[in-house]
Parts: sequence; C-alpha cells; structure tokens
Amino acid sequence: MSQIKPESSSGSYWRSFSDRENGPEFRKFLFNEFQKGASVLEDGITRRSFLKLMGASAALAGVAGCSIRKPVQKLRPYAKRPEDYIPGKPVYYATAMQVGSDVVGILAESQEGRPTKLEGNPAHSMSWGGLKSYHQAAVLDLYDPDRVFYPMFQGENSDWGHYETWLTGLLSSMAAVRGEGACLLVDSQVSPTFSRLLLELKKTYPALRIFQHDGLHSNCQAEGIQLATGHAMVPQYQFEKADIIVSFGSDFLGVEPNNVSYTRSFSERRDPESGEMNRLYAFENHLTITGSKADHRIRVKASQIEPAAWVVASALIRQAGAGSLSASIVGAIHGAADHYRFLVDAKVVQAIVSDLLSHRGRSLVVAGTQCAPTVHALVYALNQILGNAFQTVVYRAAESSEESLRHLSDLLSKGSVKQLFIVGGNPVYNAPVSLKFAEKLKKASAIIHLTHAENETSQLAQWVLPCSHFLESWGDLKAVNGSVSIVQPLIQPLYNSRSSAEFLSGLLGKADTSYNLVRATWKATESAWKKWLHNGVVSGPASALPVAPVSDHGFSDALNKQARSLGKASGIEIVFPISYSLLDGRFANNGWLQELPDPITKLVWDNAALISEKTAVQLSLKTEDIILIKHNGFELKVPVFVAPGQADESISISLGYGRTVVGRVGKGTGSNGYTLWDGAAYITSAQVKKTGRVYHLATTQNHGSMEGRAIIREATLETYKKHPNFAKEMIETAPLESLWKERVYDKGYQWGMSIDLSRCTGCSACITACQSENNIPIVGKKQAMNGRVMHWIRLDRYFEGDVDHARVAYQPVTCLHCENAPCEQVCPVAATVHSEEGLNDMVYNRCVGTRYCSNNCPVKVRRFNFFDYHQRNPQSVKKERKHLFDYMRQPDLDIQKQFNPDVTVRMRGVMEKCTYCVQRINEARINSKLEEVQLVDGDVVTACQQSCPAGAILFGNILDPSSKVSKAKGRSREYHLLEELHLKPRTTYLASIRNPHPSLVSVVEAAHHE
Amino acid sequence: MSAQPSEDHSSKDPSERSLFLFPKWANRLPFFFISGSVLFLLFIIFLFWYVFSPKNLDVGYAPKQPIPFSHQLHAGELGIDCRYCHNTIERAGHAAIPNTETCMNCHKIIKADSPHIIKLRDSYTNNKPIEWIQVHRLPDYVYFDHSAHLQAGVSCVSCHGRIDQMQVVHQVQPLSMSWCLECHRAPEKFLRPKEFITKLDWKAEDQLKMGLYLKDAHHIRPREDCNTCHR
Repeated sequence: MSQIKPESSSGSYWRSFSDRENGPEFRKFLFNEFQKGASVLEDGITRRSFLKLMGASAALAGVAGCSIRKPVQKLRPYAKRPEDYIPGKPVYYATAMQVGSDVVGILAESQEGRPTKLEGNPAHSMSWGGLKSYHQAAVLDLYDPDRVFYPMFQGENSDWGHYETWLTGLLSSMAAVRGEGACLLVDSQVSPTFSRLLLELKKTYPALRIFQHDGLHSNCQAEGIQLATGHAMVPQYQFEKADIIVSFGSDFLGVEPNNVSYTRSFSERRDPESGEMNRLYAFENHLTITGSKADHRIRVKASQIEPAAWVVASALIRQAGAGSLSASIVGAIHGAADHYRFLVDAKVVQAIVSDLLSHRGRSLVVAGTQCAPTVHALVYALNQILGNAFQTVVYRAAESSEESLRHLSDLLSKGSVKQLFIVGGNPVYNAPVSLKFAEKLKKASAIIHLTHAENETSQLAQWVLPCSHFLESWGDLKAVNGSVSIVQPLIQPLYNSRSSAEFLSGLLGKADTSYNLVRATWKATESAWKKWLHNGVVSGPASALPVAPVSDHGFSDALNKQARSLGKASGIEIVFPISYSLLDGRFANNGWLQELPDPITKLVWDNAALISEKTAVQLSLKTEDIILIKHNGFELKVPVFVAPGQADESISISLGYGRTVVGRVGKGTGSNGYTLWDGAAYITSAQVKKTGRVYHLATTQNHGSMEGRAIIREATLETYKKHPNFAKEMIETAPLESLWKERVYDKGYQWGMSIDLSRCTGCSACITACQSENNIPIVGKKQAMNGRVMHWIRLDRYFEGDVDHARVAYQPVTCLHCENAPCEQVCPVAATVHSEEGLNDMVYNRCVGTRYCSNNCPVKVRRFNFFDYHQRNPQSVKKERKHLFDYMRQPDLDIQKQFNPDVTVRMRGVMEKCTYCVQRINEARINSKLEEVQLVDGDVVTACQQSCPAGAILFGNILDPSSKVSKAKGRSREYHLLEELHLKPRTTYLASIRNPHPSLVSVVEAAHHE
Repeated sequence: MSAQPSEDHSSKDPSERSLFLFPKWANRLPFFFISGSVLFLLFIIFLFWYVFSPKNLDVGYAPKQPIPFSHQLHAGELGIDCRYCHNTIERAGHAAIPNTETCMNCHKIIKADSPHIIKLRDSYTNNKPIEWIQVHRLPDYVYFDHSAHLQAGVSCVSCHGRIDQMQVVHQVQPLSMSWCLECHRAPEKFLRPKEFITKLDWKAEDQLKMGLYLKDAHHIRPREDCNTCHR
C-alpha cells in the first residue's frame, strides 16, 4: 500500500526500537489493545469465577436485605454566606507560584472554597496564560495526605506552642552571642518580604550566616557573564524577535527558568503563516524538548558542548571580526577551538555562521544554565558581536545570592554550626555527593526544618515544622524580569502550617501573620492593593540593565584552563538532567507527575539510564538491564533505556527519582541520580558494569499505535512554500461516501478543535491540565505497563530517520469527535452518541463496559476503567462498609477536595474519553443565555487549550468564520487523521513545518522532493 | 464380555417390573410451567417498572427536617417570594438553601423565643450550619441547572409542585429522566412568562397557545443531547 507511507518525509516514523524492528513488545500493543489478562483481576481470579461467586452472593443478598431506602443526604448551607458568593459557581483568584527562582502568574479556580485547578494568568509576563505540568500538579500537593500535619520534635508529635517555648530559650541564647554559630539555609527565595525579613534577621543577629541551596538553581550564568563583563547579570531572551537561534546545551523549552514564557515566544515563530519562521540549531547530549524542536540538532557529548561553542565562535570571529573583544580573549577562543576542528561538520558550522551573520540583531545564541561559566561568557560575547543585546536578549542583575551549600558544609565539618534553620528544600537528598552533607549535618546541635512534607533532610532534623502551601498563605514574588506579584491564598492552612515568612518572623521573636508581613513590605492604599490582587501583578517587567562591553575579567584565563581540563575528559560520561516532571525531586509524591510520561522516553513512574544504541551494543546492554555505575567511590544501580538521539559514550540519568523518605505515591520509584551528582552538569570517566539483573520499566511509547499510517505529517518550509497543500495531498482518497444519510451540522454552535503540530513542543502540560479538570485517576506502574493509562490526551512522540540523528515529532491525540464516529455504530447500549453540536458524548451511566467502542476507535483514544482507580490510589483510605456491594476503599478525603464537582467521577467498568470539556461549554452556554447574548469566540476555552504554553490548541465554533479555530482550519496545512475512513473529525491538525538551512537539507530529503 | 446376565436380574420377570407412568394431569405441567415462568418474568418486569420506579419510590418523600419550617406559612400565607430565600436561583445551577442569616433578617424580632427559632439563633451565633435533609435529589451524574430553567420560563411549580401549600415539603414529581424529557420534548406545555415564575397558583388561559408563543419569541429549544445533563 503506497499511500501508507508519508510521502514528504525522508524516512519512516517509529515510536520505539521495538516499533522500528517490528519487535514483539510493540506488536503486543499493536494487535491487542486490551492486554492479555485484561479480564483477570489482580489477585488471579478470572472473570468467570468472579461472576460465579458474585452471582451466588447477589442471590443471597437479595434474600437478606430487601429494604430499599433512599439514602439521607444532608444539606449544610452557610450560617453566614460570604458576600457576593454564589454556591456552585467557581471563583477565580489571581496568585503566583514559584518553582526554583522561576515565577509564574496563576489564576486558581476555587470551588466552594477549595482550590481545584490552576491556570496561567494571561496578564502575567512570565506565564502569558500558559503553565507547565508541574505548576498545575501543585494543587495536588496542597491536599497531599502525606504532608507534615503538625510540628514534630525528635520524631514525636508536638505543637507550635511547644516549639515557641523551645525557640524563646534558643533565641535568647542566640542573642547573647549575636547569633554566632547560627545558620540559616534557604532554598531559592525570590520574595521581597522574605528578603526584607532576612535583612532584619541579619541586623538582629549580625553573626548569623545565611546559605542558599536549591536543586534547580545554577549560578553559572551570572558567574559566566561576570567573567566577561565584571557584572553579575543573567540574560533574558526574547525569542519572538529571534530569526536564528543557536543553543549550546540549553533546554529553554523544557525545565530551565522562564520556560513557560520562552515556550510561548518561541512557538510564536514556528507558525509559517504568521510571519517568518525562526530556525533553531541545538547542540546537545541527550534529546530534550528543545532539541526535539530544533531544525538542526547536533548530537555531541556533554563535555563537547563547550568545544562546539568554541568552534562556532572561532569561525564566527574569523568571518565577522572580533568586534570589541580583546586580543587575549580572541586568542583564547581560537586556541581552544583549534583542537576540536573536526568535532562539528564544517558544513554545519558554515551554515550556522552564515545564518548568524546574515541576521545580525535578529539572532540569538543561548547556553544551558548548567553549562560551565566560560560557555556563558562566550555566549555573551557572541551576542555582543552579533548586536543582539537589547534586540533579542536583555540582561538583568542577578539576584544577590547567599553563600552556597559548600560553605555551610565546611562550617559543619568544623563543628562550628550550633543551630541550623532550614527553610524548605531537601539538601540531604540533592546536595553534591562529595559534600557528604548528611553525615556532616549530624554535627549541628540543633536542626530546625520547615518543610511541606517529610523528606531525607527532615529525618535528621530535631524540629520538623509544617510549611504552608502557596495556596494557603500570603506572599509576594519577584520574577526574574522584575515583575512582582502578590501570592494570594485561596484557603486557610489545612494543617496548622506556617509560611516561610511567618517562620522567619518567629525567629525575629514576633508572630506576624503572612498577610501583615506582606502588607508591611508593600505599603499600598487599599484600592491599589485590591487592584494588585485582582490583576495578579503589582508591576510589570523592570527595565533592563545597560549592556556592558566585553572586557577580560578572567575570561581568557578561565577559557584556557577549561580548554586544558576538557582535553583530558575521557571515558563514559554521566549527565544529570533535571526530570521534566519531578524536577529535583520536589514533586516526587505527586501522582499526576509520576504518571506523566516523559516527553522523550515516555517513561512513567521511573527514570532510567539513557544510553545510545551504539554504546549499548558496545557494552552489550539492552533496555531494562540494570547497570552499576561507579565514579569516585560512589555507585548507583540503574536500569538502562536505549534512547535515540543520545550521544555515544554518554549516559543521562534524570534527577529527582529514587527518593527514600517520601510519601506513599513516590515510594520505590526510580533511581537516585544524586548519588553520583557532584554539582556539575556531568561527570566523566565513570565505570559502567552490567549486573545481569533486569528491572521492568513502564513506558507508554507503544500504546495506541496507528500502524504506520500517515498520522503525522510534516515538511520543510521550502516544500511547504512549493506545495502548500502537501498535508492534504499526502493521501489520495476516492470520493468518500457514507453508507447512510449523514447528519447535517449547520446550525447553532458546532464545536471543533485545531492542533498546530508546528507549535507543539510536546511538553505535556495539556495532559496534566486535562487530568486536573476531568478527575482522571492515576493507575500506577503495573497498570501502566499493561497499557491502561487513563489520560484522555495521549501525546504521541515519533522518531524519524536514523537512530542517532533521530528527529522527533509530537502529536497530541484526543477524541477527535468524528461526525461519522465508528465508536457510536457499535455500542450495543447507545452509551456513546452524537450531540447536535457535534460532540461525541459518552454517557457513563449507560455504559456497560463491552469495550466495543474502543475496539472500533481508529485513533485509540478511549480509556476503560478496568478498576475503580480512585480507590486503588496508594493514598486511598478504608471506607466504612455499609452494604455487601459497598466499596472497601475511597480516595483520601483531602484528595477528594481537589475533584472538579462539575465532572462525574467515573466508576470501574465504564469507558471514558475526551469530552471537549463539555462542562465548560455548558457553563458558557448557560451564562450566555442568562445574559441573553450569543457565545463569541473565546467564551469556551478547554482545559488543554488554556494551559498550552505554546498556544498550539485552538477551540471554538467552526461555523463562525471569524473564530480562530475556523481560520486555523482554513489553512492549507490542515489535515484530518485517517481521512480515508471518512471520519469527518472535529479535531484536525496543522502539519508540522521545519525550517532547515537549505544547504543542510540532507541528500535523501532533497532527492525526495525534487 | 460375558453374555450371562447377573443373578438378581434374571430372577425377576420383566412383566412383574412396576412401570412408572405419568398421570394424565401431568400433560398440563409444561403449560403451567411455561405460563408460570412467563407470568413470573412479567411480574419481575412489573416490579422494576412500577415498584422500583422513581414515581413509586421517590414521590411523596417527606423527611422530617431539623426545624419544622412551613412553606405553607411563609410562601403561602405570608406570600414571601421564593427568591427572597432561594436567592441564587436565577444566577446559579444550585438553588442555594438560604443561609441562617436570611432567616434571621426577620426572626431576630419575630417569634424570637420559640424553641425552633432558638435553634436558628444558635446556628447564627455559632456560625454552624443547620443540617437540612435533601428532599429533591438527583443522581450524582445529573447536572441540573436552576438558572437556565428559570431563564427559559419554567416555573418552580412544574417540578416542585405547590410548595406554598406544603406544611412539610415532599416530592411531587418523579424527577426521572423520562419525566425530564416530557418537558424537554414539549416545553410549550409548561412555559410561562418570566414574571409569573414564582406565582405557583398562576394558570394561563390557554397554556398551549401561550407556550408556543413564548417558545418562539425567546428561541427556546430545549436540548435533548446526553451532554445537556450528563458530563
């Protein structure tokens, strides 16, 4: 069948090695949508014997209890209802959230006083309405039943009263010695109130020392720019203005600071219809989200990323002149680059340099925050030469950072730390391993840890104090661009906790509430304060710093030193990227994030050692083999995952997994990369040994396959310009006709969706948005391995081309709401039917669970509740049994508070799938009726659309020619999935367009198009 | 195989063996059995269709409330409009049960020493809700919206009956899906001008004619899609 192969692509698309080789693992999912054992309960009882048993007991039950009584439901109205509050109507409050030093604005939905969903604040300059998965999943952390509930003293339950009496004694002794021996360790703090309190604290106890450690924080950028200018500054990129982007090991679309706003501005330029497309060159070690969106991804080992930068810089300086760079720097760059002349293909270097030079002031060079300072200094110089400063990049003063953990560690080993106050964070888990921080911590005489949940650090603390969630306490946050927002709580603290500012206030001997502390920082009139709270923004971005000329502040020396040390790098490297979902382990107890497939590997509930195919063959390893990695006397056992696009002789291990002291959800997931990590982005010359044992990994990459049809369609910009209709022309179909008279949808609102694959970065924020909006349960690793992940959105990731230089394509697939829906034809009980507005409705209470619909669904987007997953959640609790058929467990009462009351919580035995957020459609429709107006574009926003930081998803009325979605559907690169089946789907896709350099379009590709 | 019959068998004469014959009435057994099971099945169906139907099970449900609030007195005799207490009904899906504050607007003064009003005052001063028992209860998978129905011109009386005549509130209509659809399929039988929504005793001269007019004038097209109520 010739039409099955996508014509405009150079190679074939594949989802995993197993898919590529048509291996058994892939075929297992290909031919059996419902895996073997689907009808067997977990304890081994078959369905048949279960039915026998249940039949007998049902008969007995019928005899025994014949009383049918209406259950009594109590209604508890407010005694005094808050003003303007309408029960049943959600209210949104503007607030802000901090992850590391990254701040995003949030609109939090409150249902009867319970925060249920977080959405991006469109007015905030760091989120522009979008959010990442981990931001949205933070709402689940609020209700986490494994949080610290009350202060604990030496492992015993205590209370704040006891703590305060204890503290008063401590403070008076501290005051006597002006705070000598007292230390404070904070995680990233970007709150002006917190900084103000720190200053006060320093005044009160002049000898008190303050340290900072955050798993997400890297000081390399500021240090690097200091090398080049003498000023500690951090760059802030403006991708919307950049035509050419060259990235050295940066994952600016992934987990680096500001990734939400960067994703938005980058994606704005990936749309060929709305202006000139940008072009991204990415040098990287393992595949990242950024690399997967690159037009040219250059695979280099982590230790070779910097040499690659030298090579590019040297070539650029040779062609463009050195600008204001001093001769010593230029000499150092050329000298360093000399050894690596053959590292990068000369053609690629030439393409990059010519692109950069022809786009002066409209190009941008970026480097990963984890890269060495010398890279950042070099990148600063390059942007300076290219005239990009103040065009595509601005610089702001780096937050004056406190002393680092290394200093604290030195103090601890000297034994001069008496009291150690730790605010947040988990340094025992994520400190560089050579510090042996846990051992040294034991030398402190008193450790007080303010923490959200118990962790490795709190295990060693004398006092463990509950820290408030950001939805529980007042605060303020200053984003890196200088814009300030007020953190507004939505709920009283659930568990008698205190915010970090309140904790500091306690150290000052006061007991101010977080509200008073914040108000004291921001002396504002009542009306201004209310306006800030309403908008979620106090002030917009601050003005940027003037550009400092490049001068040699130790730059050339550092570069020479770096060149010498990198020359010695050899052996297998271990690289430590931060996990896309758990970050540095702070979200390890969050079920949504544990079950969120990694954008690249699609692994759930685990991390793995990513390794290239070639290296795997060399070491005779295959996926799921456990290896033992040794380095400097530290070792780690970790399962292997052979990953396309991985640099040879390099192993990537996501950090954040393998927590030992963690709640019920995070227990026993993954391997702890921090046991090898020593502060730098990678380590070299590690020893790798095969252990001979095997660990089974759960990956969703083979789920819901569509058997090599032209599901994903993409082309280069050039091809697209020549053949604008390439996506439609890929498949030739005879005129399609239905067997029966088709229903006409030409009245009222007709809902439709358009997903732009060119914009989509595969970040998976939509999956979590959908999960939190629609009460989707997590299923656990075992069920995930069985292909039963319940996410309504499946984000397909395809590789294309050869393994080492695999290109990546993403495609979020949800229910397409086909007008000729195949699922509807086969349901024996009419549980799935079409609405007059074109929605494919799923009626849960009609469904009897035959699963025919899912069988007949051509895109495999229906999910079946094999079990009542909510009661199988590791955090579920025992329930009082009221009758024979009563369920023995239920979700924890706190977790239930997160449920969206506007969406049914599905039972086992019921099919479910994307509803186009019908609850939002209905709400908007009813509101429009009450106001006696027509719905206009933008009134209905689906959860996935709202969260998408790339703006790839559009939803609206397709009959309205002025709506964004109908305009998108009118574009030439629009295509339908499986058009040959005449599904007439309401969700359509815009084909992905890449913009490679004309001279680098591979021979194969060129031949194909001509 | 031995051809010899065993001893005790050979001793008996075949003619002496007693033959069991069904009596003649047994011919009617299959008939009775089949018709009996058909009737039994019909009975079971009847049981589910009638006895277990909301019409039989739910209509007339009148639980005892913690405070014997009389709608007959307040809404009927005193003529307080429904929306004075159920004041979110035109804006929200829920017809919020009035908060204690609303009751106290009058009962700070009126009958302040009655034992029931003391309960009310306790709730008000201690900020503790009164636990009313829900009468009109829909399944969890049904999302009914009061505001949409009021906006269309469906009166309270259509679903709740003559609340203004009830000493103790009880359920009047079955609130089953088929009952909902009766109106969604023919709204003209129930629609009335918006100003008469809470006038429970109001009756149109010609309901059909007025209903058809209202349906047309206000573009009322009740939806029958599943997702109207189930999501």
